[in-house]
Amino acid sequence: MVKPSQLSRNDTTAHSWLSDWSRHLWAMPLLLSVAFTALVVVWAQDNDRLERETLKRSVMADTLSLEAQLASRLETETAKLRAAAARLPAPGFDGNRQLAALPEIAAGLDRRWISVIWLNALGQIVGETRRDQRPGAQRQAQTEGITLHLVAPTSDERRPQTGQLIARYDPADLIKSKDFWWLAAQYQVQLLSGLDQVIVSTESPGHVAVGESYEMPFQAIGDAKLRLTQRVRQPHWFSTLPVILMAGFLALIAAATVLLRRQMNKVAKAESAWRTEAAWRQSLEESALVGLRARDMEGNLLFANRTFCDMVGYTLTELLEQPPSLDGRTPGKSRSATKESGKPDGQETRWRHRDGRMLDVMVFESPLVDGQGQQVGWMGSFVDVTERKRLEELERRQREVLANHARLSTLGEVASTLAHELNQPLTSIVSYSAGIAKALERQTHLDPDLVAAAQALSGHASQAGDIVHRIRARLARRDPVMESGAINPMVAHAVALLERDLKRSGVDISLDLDNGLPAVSMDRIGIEQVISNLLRNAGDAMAGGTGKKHIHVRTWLSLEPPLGQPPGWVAVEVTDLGTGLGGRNIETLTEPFFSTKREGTGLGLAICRSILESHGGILHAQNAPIAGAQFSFSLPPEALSVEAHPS
Amino acid sequence: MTDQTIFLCDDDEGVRSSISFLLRQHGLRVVTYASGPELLAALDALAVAPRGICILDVRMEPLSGLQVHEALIARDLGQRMPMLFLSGHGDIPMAVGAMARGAFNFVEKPYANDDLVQLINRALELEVQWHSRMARHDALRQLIAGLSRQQIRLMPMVAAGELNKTIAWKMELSVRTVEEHRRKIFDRLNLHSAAELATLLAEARAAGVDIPLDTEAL
Repeated sequence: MVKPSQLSRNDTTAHSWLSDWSRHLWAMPLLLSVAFTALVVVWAQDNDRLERETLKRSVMADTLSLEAQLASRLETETAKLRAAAARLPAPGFDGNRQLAALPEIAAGLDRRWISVIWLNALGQIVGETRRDQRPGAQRQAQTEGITLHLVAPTSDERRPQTGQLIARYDPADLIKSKDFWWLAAQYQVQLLSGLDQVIVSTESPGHVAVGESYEMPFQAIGDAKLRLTQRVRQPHWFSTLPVILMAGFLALIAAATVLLRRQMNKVAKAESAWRTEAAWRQSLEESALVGLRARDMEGNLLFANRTFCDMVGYTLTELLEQPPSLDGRTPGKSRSATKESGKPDGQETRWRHRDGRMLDVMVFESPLVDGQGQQVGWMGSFVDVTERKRLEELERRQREVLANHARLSTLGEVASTLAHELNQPLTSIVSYSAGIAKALERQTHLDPDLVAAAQALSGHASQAGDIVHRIRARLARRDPVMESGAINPMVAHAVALLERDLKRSGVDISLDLDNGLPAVSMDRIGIEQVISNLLRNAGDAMAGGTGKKHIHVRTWLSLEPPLGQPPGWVAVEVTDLGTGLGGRNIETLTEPFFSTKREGTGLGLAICRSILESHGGILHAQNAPIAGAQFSFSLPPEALSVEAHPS
Repeated sequence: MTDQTIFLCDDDEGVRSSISFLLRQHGLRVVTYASGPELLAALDALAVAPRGICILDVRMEPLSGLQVHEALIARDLGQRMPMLFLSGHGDIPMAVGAMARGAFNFVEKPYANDDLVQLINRALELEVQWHSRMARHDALRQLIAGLSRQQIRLMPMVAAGELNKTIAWKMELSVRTVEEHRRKIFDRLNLHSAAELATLLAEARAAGVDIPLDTEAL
């Protein structure tokens, strides 16, 4: 269950920058990947540089070594040629034969030399021998390239500088020698002239090696350079496998990021929708006029909306801190009752608001079910029906008052008619009986029984007349005249009127009047009638007894107004020491024609109640604490009675 | 007192005859009428002014007690005869209204047996008093009528206690003449002091005798 009010306020600021961040969080993997890739690239470049240097160094070393080997080979050839030259006889007739006959020359030709020319000191060719003149020599397609030659002086001790021996050889043969296969596999070996003309190359001219190269002067041949070029080019750093893999990785990450971004957008959209819905629901809950409360199975409060809080007068925090037993003061049994019935039928209960006033609450409790369909607690909705009940009560009372009025009004009609109809015959009876009594007085033989009968007749007729008279006086319809006034003078006046009669029958009266009472709106005659009636009843209740006869009259400001009414009611109480109510309640007592007195009309209290109710007041009756009855009535404060009875 | 008659007017026969019976037992003379017009016709038919009282029911047809009262006032009987009203239920305000118009009193039906008779006796006494006062007024009027015009004019001054000389000067008479008048007035009216004369003059004025207030007013 969400507790909106709890997490709403305090973390909105944190939430905002977090959301700013999280909005861009999707780019983080991409950024990291880019950074990582950049590092890898730097590393690859560095590595590449180092590798190249190493390579260059090895090319250099190889070149140097090759040059040294080639040089030593040429040196060896030159030495061999010198040896041959040294063994050369003096030029004879047939130089060619002389040459060919020389075993060193023959070995040289078999080995590497293409031809050997013998020059005398004058530079004239003495003899010449060629490889192809050698028996069993293979025909070689050659000499298309440039040939180089070795020179050895032919001299001896006796004849210094007698000529020279020149051996021609093919440099390609030199370079392409099988002895350097490992080099040739790796490098293109080129021999360059001083003008950078390729003299000989291990590769065919169309083929160009592109790799690392190094060249250096080739000492063995004057003005020539040796160049080694790597056959396979060292790949660029960016075309190395790691970098390519990284690029692929980056591409994948980018794709993943796009997907992530899309997903996040979707989530954000869903989240905002959820937020809107949550806010909407919260505002629904908060603005609902129904109090909502959720509790877990143990009765601990989980959530309560604002209406609920207002209803009980505690804030949500206070409610949450309260132990479950005090929560909302709902009796446990009401919950179980709902549980058993399982119906959403409301139940009425009463709560005490924090300020002490009582609330009538309609409770609808239903199981609180979580997403898995499990009951995790109870959800209660509460409707404050205090006002409705008050209105109902008011309406009921008004209906009662009206009914009572109607009843009394009907009664009044009946009484009027009766009085009117009875008046004439009663008048006649009274007159006749009085006349008879008078006539009898004049008789000479006075029969005392007859006189007594006549007098009794007259007396009873008068009494009947009195009763009719009284009923009519009480029931006569009269429009009440409402005016503002104090109750105390009314009480004092009524007491003063009856005091003499009461004293005569041995009853004394004590008064306890509260001087601080507010004025009430009342019909003076009506209220005086009520007070007189209560006093007379109190006096009559003690008439037969032999004990102490005392009436206590008290006025005070009522602190316990009727349900749902503001305080300030003025109450008047008449207590006697008579026989008490005898178990009768106010309803019975105020029933018309109910009387405990032999000569009572049974209308006194009914009329009192009717009068009080037309004032918006209430008549109470109870047994006095010690003995006797205690009748009291209370009248609403002036403002209220005017409001309740505008007519 | 014996020549007094009680004129009872009530539309209810029972009430009429019972009250009549009761009053007769008390030795009173009663005539009864069932309606207002009947009563009025009977009174009109009398040769001399009737003596006695009227008892009227408030609620009657065709004329109500109050209307009958009005008619009696119109016949100048309102003062002469005390009017007693019998009021039933709900017509007490009307009875009170009648009292304001000069009626003697009202009795609410049903009355206690003694009330009515007591009231009637008081009304009869009142009627007698009224008549005796009327008789005295007549006598006064006759006495004063026996005086000369000049004597009548002198009377207030004498009553005011003025000296003969002052009166003589005011009236342009001789002191002697004034003395003569004064003696005659006292003789005739059988008085002995100016104070007695003043009382008599006030009574005479109340009885409607025309006496000038003072000479200066002339």
